[in-house]
Amino acid sequence: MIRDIVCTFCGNACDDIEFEGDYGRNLCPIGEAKFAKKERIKAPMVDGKEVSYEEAIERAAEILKEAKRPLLFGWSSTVNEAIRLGVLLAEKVGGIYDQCSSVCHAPTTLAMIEEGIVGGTLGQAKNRADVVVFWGCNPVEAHPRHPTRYSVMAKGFLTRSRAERRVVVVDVRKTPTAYLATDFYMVEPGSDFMVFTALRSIVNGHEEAVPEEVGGLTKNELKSLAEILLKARYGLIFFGLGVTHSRGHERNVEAVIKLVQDLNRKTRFILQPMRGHFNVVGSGEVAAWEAGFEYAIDFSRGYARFSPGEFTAVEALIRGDCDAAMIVASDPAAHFPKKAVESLKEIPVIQIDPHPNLTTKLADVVIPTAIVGIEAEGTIYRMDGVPLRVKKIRESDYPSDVEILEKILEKVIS
Amino acid sequence: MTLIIKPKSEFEVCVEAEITPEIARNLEDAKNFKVYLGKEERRLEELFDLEFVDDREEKVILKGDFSRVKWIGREMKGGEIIVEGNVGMHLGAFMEGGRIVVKGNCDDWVGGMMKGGEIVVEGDTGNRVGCNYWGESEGMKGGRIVIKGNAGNYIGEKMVDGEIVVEGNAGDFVGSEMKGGKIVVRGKAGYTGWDMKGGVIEVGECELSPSFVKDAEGVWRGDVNVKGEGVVRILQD
Amino acid sequence: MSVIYIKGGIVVDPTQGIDGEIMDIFVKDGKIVEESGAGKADTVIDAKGMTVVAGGIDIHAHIAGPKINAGRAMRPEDMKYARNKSGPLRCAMGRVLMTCPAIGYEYARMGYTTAIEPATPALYAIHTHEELDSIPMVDKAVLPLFGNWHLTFKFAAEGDIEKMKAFIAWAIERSKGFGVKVVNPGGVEAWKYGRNVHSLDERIPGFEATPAEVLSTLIKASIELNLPHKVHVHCNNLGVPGSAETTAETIKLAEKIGASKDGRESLHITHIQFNAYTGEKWRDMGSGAEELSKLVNRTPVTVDMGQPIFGHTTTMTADGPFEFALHKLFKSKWINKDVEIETGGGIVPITYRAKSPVNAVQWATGLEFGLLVDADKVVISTDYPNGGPFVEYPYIMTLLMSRKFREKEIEEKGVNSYIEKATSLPSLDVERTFYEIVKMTRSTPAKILGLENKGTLKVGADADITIYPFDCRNVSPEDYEVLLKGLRSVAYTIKDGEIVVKDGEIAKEVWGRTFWVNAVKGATQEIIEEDLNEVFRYYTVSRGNYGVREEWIRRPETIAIEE
Ligand SMILES: [Zn+2]
Repeated sequence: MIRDIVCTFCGNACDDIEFEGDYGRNLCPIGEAKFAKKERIKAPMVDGKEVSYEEAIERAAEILKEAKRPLLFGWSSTVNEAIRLGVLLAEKVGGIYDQCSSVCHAPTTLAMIEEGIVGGTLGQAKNRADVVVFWGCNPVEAHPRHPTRYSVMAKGFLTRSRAERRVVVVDVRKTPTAYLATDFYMVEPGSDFMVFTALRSIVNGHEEAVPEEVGGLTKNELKSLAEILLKARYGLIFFGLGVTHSRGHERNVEAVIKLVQDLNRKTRFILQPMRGHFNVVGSGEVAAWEAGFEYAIDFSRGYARFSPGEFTAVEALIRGDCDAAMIVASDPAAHFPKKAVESLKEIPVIQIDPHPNLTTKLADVVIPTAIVGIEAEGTIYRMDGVPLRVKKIRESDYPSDVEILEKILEKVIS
Repeated sequence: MTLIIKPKSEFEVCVEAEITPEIARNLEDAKNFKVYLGKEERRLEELFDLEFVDDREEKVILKGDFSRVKWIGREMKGGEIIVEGNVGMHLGAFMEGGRIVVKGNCDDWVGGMMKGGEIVVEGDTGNRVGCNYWGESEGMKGGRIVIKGNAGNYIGEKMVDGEIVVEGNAGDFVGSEMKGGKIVVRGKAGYTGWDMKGGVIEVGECELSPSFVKDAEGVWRGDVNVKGEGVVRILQD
Repeated sequence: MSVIYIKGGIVVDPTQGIDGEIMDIFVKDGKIVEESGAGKADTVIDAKGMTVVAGGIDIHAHIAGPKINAGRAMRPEDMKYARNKSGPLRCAMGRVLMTCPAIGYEYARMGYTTAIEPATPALYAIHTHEELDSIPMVDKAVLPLFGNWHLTFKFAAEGDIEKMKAFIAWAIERSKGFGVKVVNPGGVEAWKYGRNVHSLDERIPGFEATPAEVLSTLIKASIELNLPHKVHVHCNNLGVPGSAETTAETIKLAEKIGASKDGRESLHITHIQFNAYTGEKWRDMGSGAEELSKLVNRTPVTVDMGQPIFGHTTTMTADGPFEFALHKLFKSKWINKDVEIETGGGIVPITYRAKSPVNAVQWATGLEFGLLVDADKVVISTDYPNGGPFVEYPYIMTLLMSRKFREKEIEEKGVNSYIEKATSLPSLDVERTFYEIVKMTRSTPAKILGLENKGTLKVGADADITIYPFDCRNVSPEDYEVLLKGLRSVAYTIKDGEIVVKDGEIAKEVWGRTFWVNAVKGATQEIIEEDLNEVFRYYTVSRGNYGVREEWIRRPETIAIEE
């Protein structure tokens, strides 16, 4: 039996999985699906024809070298070792490095640039927090073991059980997570910014600035919620795509950061984004130490430039700012807006991935790899940045994406 | 002199061309002016047709499609740029003086961190007009931006001084964290005035941040959360 | 590897008492060798008229790990400055905060060849090593944080030195660390309750221990374990008026315990400037450097300066409550991170202004320490990036060497005249000699770190060498401009026997080693098994996933401590 396996599905990165052959203990249903055997890309392909790895790598290097501004996108579902090579490759070919958070938690990064963030590790939820708020997120469905491992039922050092935690859910509908809550507040869609700001006015003693109703909550409801936050010994707000992907976007996050800053003048409070992919944090961190920024980085002038909304994949594609793309461990053809996918169809696309997906269909070069965390090892960062090693638990004939990227980089430099 | 610039063909990727009226002073310098097509460094005349009119102006006229040409008028100090059609991102960024007139529409970041001069847009603009660049603590410091059509989100954030006038509507976050200067939106705006420390916003109608208090004269003052002294006048109140 | 002759240079090496003698130095296979053992030269450097010293050592710079990286992500306005364009070398970004390639290149260009990252949560050690592995040019090591770990509190409360030894050995092995770092002992735990601790004898919330007990037990355990580098402490009450008193009390703890077994000091007080203010309020704040320097000079304690540089920078420390105070003071952006049951941290941008009386006192206080503490006991540092960029070390060296330069800076920068009242700097006529500066940047940090092959040009030492393009015997404090220019423009940096910088430009990208200390043989590990299993019930990672394996590090080098 292999112990302490890290699950490679969501940002929880549960690290207590045990494997006995193909059977994994402690996995949640989504994690189980992740470890189940799935269809693989059989062999490298160029223009739909099977070729050797050497030929596919050669062609990929050629495309990247010839392009005026290639886009290198994906990264959040692979290991830091591969991500680092991706940043180096983007630098050497004068392209754009962008990663999946540009379509999920980038607003959190942008808000962090404005205000910083008051955060902590998941251990604070487990050990300390006596008030836990889930705002615009639904861990029961998206991060299934989050409530038991960290945030609701966990047995902590100071907060020992569910009974010692007040759990608050704020959302636009009564989600399964809301059924776990002590208190549930239903807000109108797209009103998070106004509600956060109204709470902040109350917390700061400026009730008079708050109208009778904000975002579907009465002033009394807002006051009761503010009261819960203020009475916390140590509070924690988890927020998800409901906050980052509704009207207001990064300013919603900024508003909740400012609320938490102000709460810290009265008690202790922290904030934690519920990140999706298992290494979306690593794909930002590695880029920051290598190039100075987390995503939306252009190297066309020989140095790194950061410009979200310009060098983010979707916007760059829609503006016609890229003339080639390399997609690593991601499926933009399935997730990007139509106009961006149209633009991808117009330019040469290289795909590096273990599994076929919609992007495979429009890729000119396809390079299959070993599955990270099952067939290849490496470092990943959990949603709170805690680093963990994913392990190799099965043998595979496929090379790792690290090996592929090393070879492409070598070809590009020479 | 007046320099008339036209794209030779459609570009494979966006072009970066920090064209200012100064380049109209000398034909040879203009031809050799460096522009960027992705990672390739090019001379202006390789990508654009140039035509010179020997007059007493210091002026550049952009004809044809410039919607994928970025950084026009960057750090411009004087003279005039006329854009006859649409224009790409970062128009007039860090501008210090002179005048830019756009007959068509603009992409994002018109007059980002502008210090002086004037930009007039006859059509619409994207987001972040007169806004601060990422992480900077101050936005527009001077000059004037007039938008005859509509503007996007994040207009005049962290503005210190100067004026932005939007004749049509504006999106969310008008004048967030504004410290001084004036923003006028004659039509409708979304979220307005958040964390305003100073300055004046006049707006036809808006969704005011729930952190302002109305004074005896019917003027909204705030943002209370930052002990701000900003003023929001809602014209249709 | 090749053979290099450095011919006819003016050599300064305090470890051999050499002060400006014309000598040849021979390098082979990364080491300094005797002439007889060198063999034929592959490269001959004509060092006539140039000064040859060992490579510089930065004992305290936050160069890698979750803190600086969060700082980078928060400050694109600082990162947008390009220092080097991509080419044969990497693109290098950043004004004060820098990317990993930039950090490596800038150290090498300054003649520095070793740098210590002084504060990582052991939980994040994997991350810190990934960043260290991305910094080219220098050797490095990392100090894990102990001062707010629940197990530290427990063993300190029990006064159990044996368990503390086992725990230290376990934790530095797991984190592939180099020694024991303590930041505001107890205060970071208190911050998790929204508080701080304000004296060494205050009880830490939730525990029986006091900061004094934490420090004493850790110092004793480090001495008994024979760690090459002893306890490295960021004192309680940092950054506030009255902190000088706390620092003095901390020093007295070490005095009571005594020196290490090998006679070296048993406590390193880092960035002492930030912890050396007298007074009760900011309004009557002053420098405690004169008194503290006297105390340091007679006790088994060493220090580094933590010199502020006027201008923008970003503060970052495990001292969570201190960063919260800065955030409230400047209303600036603020990152906080509470880390499991072991530590925390914060990040806040800051600007040091010459005209501000507080910042002026800080500036003067740092320099007072640089002038008043024995050169065998004080190391030049800015506590990068807290005081400012490490690339300003040549500027600090020049300030210490020339009173005239200090006067000029005070005049030209308009340093607030409050320093005349609150510090002794304006009246100090001490001028450090070049020999002393070499101590404070080479042999002294090497001695404090216990790195015997560093900071020296002795035969057998690592061939980490700086060659300055001037004759150190001819520079006078009067010509501070010549001095500053010379110190800023290194003629050669040699790292592990290879020329990596020539005429101030990077000649070759190389990858240094990461030193870590294995002391597990020095303590019985079994005695803490139960305690470890107990605390891991309150971690959110499995014990099996806690820590770093050697094979994950690019060039690890173990320093094994025998029983
Ligand atoms: Zn430090």
